[in-house]
Amino acid sequence: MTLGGYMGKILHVDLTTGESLTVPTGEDLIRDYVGGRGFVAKLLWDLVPPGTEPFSEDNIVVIAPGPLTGVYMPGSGKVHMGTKSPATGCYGDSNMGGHFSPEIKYAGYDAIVIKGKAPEPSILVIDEDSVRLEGAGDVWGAGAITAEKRLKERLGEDFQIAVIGPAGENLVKYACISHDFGRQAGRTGIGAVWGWKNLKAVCVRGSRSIPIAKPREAFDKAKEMYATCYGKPGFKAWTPYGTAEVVNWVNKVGAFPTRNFSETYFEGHEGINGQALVDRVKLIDKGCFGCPTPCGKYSKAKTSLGEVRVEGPEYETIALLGGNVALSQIEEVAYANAVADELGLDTISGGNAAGFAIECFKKGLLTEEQVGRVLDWGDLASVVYLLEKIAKREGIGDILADGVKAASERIGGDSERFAIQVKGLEWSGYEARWAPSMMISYMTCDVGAHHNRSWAITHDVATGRDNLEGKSEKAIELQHIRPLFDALGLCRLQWVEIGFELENYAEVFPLVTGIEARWEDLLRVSERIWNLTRAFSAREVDGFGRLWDYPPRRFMEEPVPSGPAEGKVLTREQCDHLLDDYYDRRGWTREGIPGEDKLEELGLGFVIPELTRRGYILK
Amino acid sequence: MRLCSYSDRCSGCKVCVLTCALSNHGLNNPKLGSVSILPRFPEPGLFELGVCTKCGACRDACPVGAIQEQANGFYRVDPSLCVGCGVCVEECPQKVIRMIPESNVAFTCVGCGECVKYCPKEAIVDLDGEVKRV
Repeated sequence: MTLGGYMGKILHVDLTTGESLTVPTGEDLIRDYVGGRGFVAKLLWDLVPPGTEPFSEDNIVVIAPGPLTGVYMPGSGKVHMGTKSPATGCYGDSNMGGHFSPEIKYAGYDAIVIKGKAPEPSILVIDEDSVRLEGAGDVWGAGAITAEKRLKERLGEDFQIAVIGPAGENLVKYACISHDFGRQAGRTGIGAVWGWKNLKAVCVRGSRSIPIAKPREAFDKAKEMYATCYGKPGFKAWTPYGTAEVVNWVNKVGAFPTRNFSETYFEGHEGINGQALVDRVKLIDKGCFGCPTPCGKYSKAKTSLGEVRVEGPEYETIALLGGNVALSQIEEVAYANAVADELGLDTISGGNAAGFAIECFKKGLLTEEQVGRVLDWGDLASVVYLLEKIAKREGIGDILADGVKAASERIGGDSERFAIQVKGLEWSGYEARWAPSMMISYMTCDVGAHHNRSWAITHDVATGRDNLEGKSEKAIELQHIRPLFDALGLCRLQWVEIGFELENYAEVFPLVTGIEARWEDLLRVSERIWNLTRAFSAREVDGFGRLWDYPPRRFMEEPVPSGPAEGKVLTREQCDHLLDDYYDRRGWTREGIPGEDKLEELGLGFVIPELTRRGYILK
Repeated sequence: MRLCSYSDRCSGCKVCVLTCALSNHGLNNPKLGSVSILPRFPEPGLFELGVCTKCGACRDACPVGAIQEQANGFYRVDPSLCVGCGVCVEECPQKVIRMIPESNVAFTCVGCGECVKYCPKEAIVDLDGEVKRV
């Protein structure tokens, strides 16, 4: 039996010299890190010299599908990208759907590692064994959607293209990678690292077949998986709305980002919910590779500022460019979505930055003279103005482009209290003052305030939102399950949204790869990856640890003023209780550093000398 | 069986072409599937979906007579006669004929119906109702 699911080699590209080489995908790497996020974490640890600046030739970008990416089964279209993040200085990664990741496999690679800096704005073209840098030409400076279209015309429709917009070129610290006219690796500013490296786009084409260890059995199992999905009630009930389906529920439980998270229930949410999306703007469902339940909605929306076509808006964009800036019409959210996509801005961080700026303006911490206009809640023109200023780093936009944490340090007042972030990464779409498991999930997420490592708010609602017991434990459990999908190269939404059973993935993995790993073994890999990313951040950030894990003061000091969660807050003492419980269960020190015993147990003993040298006490 | 495609339902997921390639060639390779999916983005924003309509253009175009109609009305390439010239690939109005690299033989839709069974969006259907989505 051959090893299936892997293409057998990793492509290394040096943008400085334009040279590339391939190395075999190591058996140890496969065994200990599986792929995707695991490869990202290990390659960053190994290949980024300690203390490297995010914007430097030595920083790398890793682009990694997983062993199940591109293989026939539900949700096999995901790619993981990682770098030392300019947004946080910590380990940074982001995940993206579409068709880019399978194409990397068909081109023959298990990962792409990019270092150096191109001497001029360039695109990287990977046409199976032919790897070359080309001058970016007229796509440099172009919007991400426009650039992708032009590159398809230049190279051919069958190339899959990942591209940055002006925000990436201008080093906005939450610039994203865009693909397939509306899919993004949105978080941690990987787009800015591409921009610094003069890398406008990565264009991939391949025609190889993916080897499968037990082809007949894997095919039969995958067909059964699809049939199971089609039989789930959520297949028909959830799919037409996609992630926007959850807008009503999040408002009902008082967790919807509203006016820069000052409130948690948006009175205008019925104008931007899943029903509004379907009734007023949606054209078609747009799916990623292999997806039975496409969450993507391609839309057309008309507003006072013009008409747009856009993929979305999905839930996070509705939350951060909707409720968080008080836009109450789905057409307006779609418009802001389209603007952010073309500029190449993460809608989560972008929506945070806009909400933060509007609140600063309302509080008199920013003036009309400083901003260049009046800012107001629920005003599309204000939001679009801010997004464009940010992407171009003009005026107030230059301050906001470094993220709300850095911006609050320059704006002053008490703005740091309502800069909604952890580790310098802006908070995504679930306010957590009355959701302790969700709160500890955000606090300890390895890349900063992001929901997708542990979406525990349903656990809070199910088990009682006023008690802290068991909440850290649940977060840890989910922090191993959910990122495992990122290592396998799969989407988790069939499991999350329509109740597709995890056992299916456990059964199909050995059939595809030929590796006799049980689900517990894979979860162990996920725990190893989690500890390694934490160790990476500790290696890279002076004094890293507990202080990097607190939520913004607003969430610890300001009770929710109104709505279903009125009066709720998680005090610093309560957050400390959650952290102590979390660290103890993880085998970390009370300072939040992985303990020596845990590191040895996970086969991560190799990080101990580096962390010790950096002054961390691991007992 | 008569295949019909609905572009307004297609989400571009490629489940059809993967199912086709695995069923007919045993290869995990969507580029070998005999369905055509042409993304049209950002404008107008849809996938143009093409399936075999049994039009017979491939048979008419084949210079060596390697393509013959089957009992079900679909066409089959005789691998022992096909010379791999690719004329049928060019002439197919639906763009659903593929050259199989291992054999350098053309392959066109034989009407197996696997795409109908597994398309999540029921964007490919059998107008005769003999085959349905699982």
